[in-house]
Amino acid sequence: MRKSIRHTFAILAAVLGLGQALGQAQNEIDVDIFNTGEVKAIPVHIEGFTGEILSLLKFDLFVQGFEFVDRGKAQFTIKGSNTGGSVSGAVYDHLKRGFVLNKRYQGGNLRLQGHTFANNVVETITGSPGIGLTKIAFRQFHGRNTEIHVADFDGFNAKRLTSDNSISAGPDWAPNGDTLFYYSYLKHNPDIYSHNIRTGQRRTVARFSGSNISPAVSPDGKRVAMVLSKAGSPDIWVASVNGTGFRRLTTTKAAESSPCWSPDGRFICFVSRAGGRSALYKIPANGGAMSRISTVHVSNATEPDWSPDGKAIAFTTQRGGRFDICIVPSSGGSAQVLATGEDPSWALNSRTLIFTNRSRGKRVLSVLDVPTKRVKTLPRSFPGNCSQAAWSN
Amino acid sequence: MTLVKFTGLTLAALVVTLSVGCKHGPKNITQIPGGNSNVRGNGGLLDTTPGGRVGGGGDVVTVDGDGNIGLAGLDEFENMLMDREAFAAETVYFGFDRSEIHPDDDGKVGAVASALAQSPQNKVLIEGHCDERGTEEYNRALGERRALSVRDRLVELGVGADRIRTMSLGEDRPADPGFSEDAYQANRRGEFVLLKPKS
Repeated sequence: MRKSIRHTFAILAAVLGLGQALGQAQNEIDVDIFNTGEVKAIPVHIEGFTGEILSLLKFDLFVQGFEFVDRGKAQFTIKGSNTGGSVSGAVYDHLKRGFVLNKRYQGGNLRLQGHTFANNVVETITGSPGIGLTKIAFRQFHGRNTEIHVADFDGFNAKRLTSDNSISAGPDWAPNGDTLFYYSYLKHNPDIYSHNIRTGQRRTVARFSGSNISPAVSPDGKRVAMVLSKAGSPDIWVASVNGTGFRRLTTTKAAESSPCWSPDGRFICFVSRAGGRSALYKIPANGGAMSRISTVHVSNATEPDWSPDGKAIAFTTQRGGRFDICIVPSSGGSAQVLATGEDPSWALNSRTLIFTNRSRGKRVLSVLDVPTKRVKTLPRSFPGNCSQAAWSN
Repeated sequence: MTLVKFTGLTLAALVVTLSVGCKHGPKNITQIPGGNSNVRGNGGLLDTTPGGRVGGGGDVVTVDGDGNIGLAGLDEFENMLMDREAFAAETVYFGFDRSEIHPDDDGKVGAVASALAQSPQNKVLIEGHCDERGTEEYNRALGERRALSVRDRLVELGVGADRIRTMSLGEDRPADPGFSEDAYQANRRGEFVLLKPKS
């Protein structure tokens, strides 16, 4: 019945020349990221924008499934301007023959306005949330040491967060975006800290003998999963974010690594060598038995990250020094190799990944649009090698 | 059907509004909050503060079962002098992606055990290292597993578990920064650091 109503709408709209009415129907595009065939990028034509804002819009849209074509081949034309200190933009739908978005932006700065317009374009055309205003936290190499840095997701406005002259690594965002968790050898042992990025206040979350590494904050922001070796083997543990109530979840002799949470907070996915080679497992966050998440066609899985919509797990397969980004349904099954690289982190749209590309010691952050399998390196590069990017909400 | 018609009319009205908007330039103004540097929240520019000093913390570790011997608390190793030279010749090496001690290296672990037996006031730190052919967090865990293998062997040889500390450095401190097989072999290692009480 709903379908027939929508059909009636379509006709009604067409008869009355109401192209815009279909804007809503378009919001129901559900991109299947497991589609093994080629998913086509949405062809758009951009006109009117210049310089920095044009580059910004092209990057934002590219990594969310758009491609840029001549007006004659475009499904949508994105036109506007960025003169006079403000961005304005509109989207014309060539199929529906009408404007589906028309906005002007004030305040903030030009880049914020540009990212906000890009978000509006993405939300209008695809119905998915835009990622233009998200941040990344990552590890940057400074000689022998590494520090935690944060930046806009495209690499602009980078800020250095730690200056400990030590190894700091493994950043993860608390869901509120105010606090980062990471580990650092600041006190001559890899210990886990929480760091309020507004106030600079740091707290020790885990400092036990051995490894205290790979913190992952739960979706409700209340708990942190991590790897501790204090019991004599690298195991998955969970504690309150303030560093109390530690609970050991795995008890294998083998090494476990890289915990991440299911978006409903019920499970923790991680890597274990319990079965010989490294593979993905999950375990109830409140304790229970660990079970395999199969990755058919792909072995030696590491570094899982569960997509915010719960459907997929992205991970790295390692093959003797070569790394590939893969995805698998979160229930396990057929895994798909997407691109060369390692350590993927999902954006909030559950379609874009940020990851590290490594080649002979050089490490660069890149972004991958999963359905179209297209990769772009960040437009703003950093002075040192970078890795372990974590994407904010 | 009435509902459909009604909604259709609403849409038509909306469309007219939009079309008018287009003809007369953008009216739909979106105000972006904040200024250039102090926008708050996830949407704003980051107003960050570098990390300050970290206070104390850390518990003495309790031992539990499952075939794993718990590690002694970090407090046990506070204020000791590190001597990297004493056991420099006893560095042990591992196979690719392996954490078992190679039989050829068992004598080195024995030498460390003997030295510790003769100097009961001393302790030891075992550092686990990896080559770069694993992902970073995987290597961090593998390095710890290597250090723990060495530690378990020392315990078998009679060294008290409370005298041994482990630390994985993953792939962050290669002995050889090169990209050859020889370099990788040199980097897959366990180093012994002698810990002596300050006299």
